[in-house]
Amino acid sequence: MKYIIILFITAFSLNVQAQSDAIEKYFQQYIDNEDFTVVYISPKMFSLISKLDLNEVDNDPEAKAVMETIKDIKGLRVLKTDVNSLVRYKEAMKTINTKEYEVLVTVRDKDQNVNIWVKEDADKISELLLLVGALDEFVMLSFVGDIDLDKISKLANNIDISGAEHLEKVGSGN
Amino acid sequence: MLRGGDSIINFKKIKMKTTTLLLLLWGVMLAPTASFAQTKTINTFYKEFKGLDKNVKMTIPGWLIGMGAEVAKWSVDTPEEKESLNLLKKVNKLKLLVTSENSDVKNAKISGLFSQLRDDSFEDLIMVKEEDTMVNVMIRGGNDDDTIKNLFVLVREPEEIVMLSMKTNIKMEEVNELLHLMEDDYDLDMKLD
Repeated sequence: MKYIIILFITAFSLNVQAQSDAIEKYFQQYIDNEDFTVVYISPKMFSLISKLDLNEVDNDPEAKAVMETIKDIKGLRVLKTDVNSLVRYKEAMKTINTKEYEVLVTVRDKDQNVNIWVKEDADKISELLLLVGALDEFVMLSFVGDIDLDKISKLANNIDISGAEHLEKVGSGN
Repeated sequence: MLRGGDSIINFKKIKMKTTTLLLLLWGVMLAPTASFAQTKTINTFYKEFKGLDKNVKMTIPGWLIGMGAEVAKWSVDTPEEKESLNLLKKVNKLKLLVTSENSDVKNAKISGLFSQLRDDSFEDLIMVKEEDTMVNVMIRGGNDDDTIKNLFVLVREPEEIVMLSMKTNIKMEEVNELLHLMEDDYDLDMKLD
């Protein structure tokens, strides 16, 4: 009897997870796939980083902006591949639940397709999702936390992932 | 009838016994003074795999690391290197396990290990997977959230799994001090890639 109850609770919590974390499920799918590079930086890591007190931060406005943004970020996930990138891109586009995610930016040129979505939670942005599909590269990047678009756009040029420079466009006045 | 060779062997045996005894005494003396947090899960995992043939395993007690760090300080020049070695002295215990066998059974056990660690207040820090190599770093802090009590690193490659488990007493302020020292000399490169 105990076990049935435990099973129910686990199943229920897993289901709730799935609804709010389609992206996480998507990531889990590709963890064992050798073609993919997967990165996950946890909320704990971000909170440790924000505890680091760097003198340089006060001297360099750009570094200061980066640290400011990082304080509110709770997690980062990156998924990347250069194998079958366009196919993967199309697959990923299909999995985005348009009821949860709202399109912010779309860029399409001959070399690449870029899409940026946000998920809002009571007037605050709780997730920023970046999808890049190019001939030689597919990138999926997800920031979770209390996202401030202006701060993220400043962060854009400091993230060393191709496609992330498009994040610059999410800031106001762009 | 005693021959010349015999007496030397006997002497060596006595010497070995004394050394082992001394080491044991060291261990016994240090054990009560340690105020470690329990990491039964890691220890169980370690015990299970250290039996297998192709493993390299070692547990290095803190005092040995401390001694090594102190000695190393003589041969480094810069303050930040000395400071990092000082930090190293705050490592109470280091467990290293390298196994060169890899099987599905192991992977299942490893995910079991992770869920046990999470139940045991360990938090994920970073997970990176590139091609066929996966690195996990987990951490467990003290009650005040300013101390790092345990650090767990797992590197999984097709032919090899390396597990590193550290018990420490490193405080965030100490990490900050080290960073300040490094900043003064180098340009901190803040890139996420």
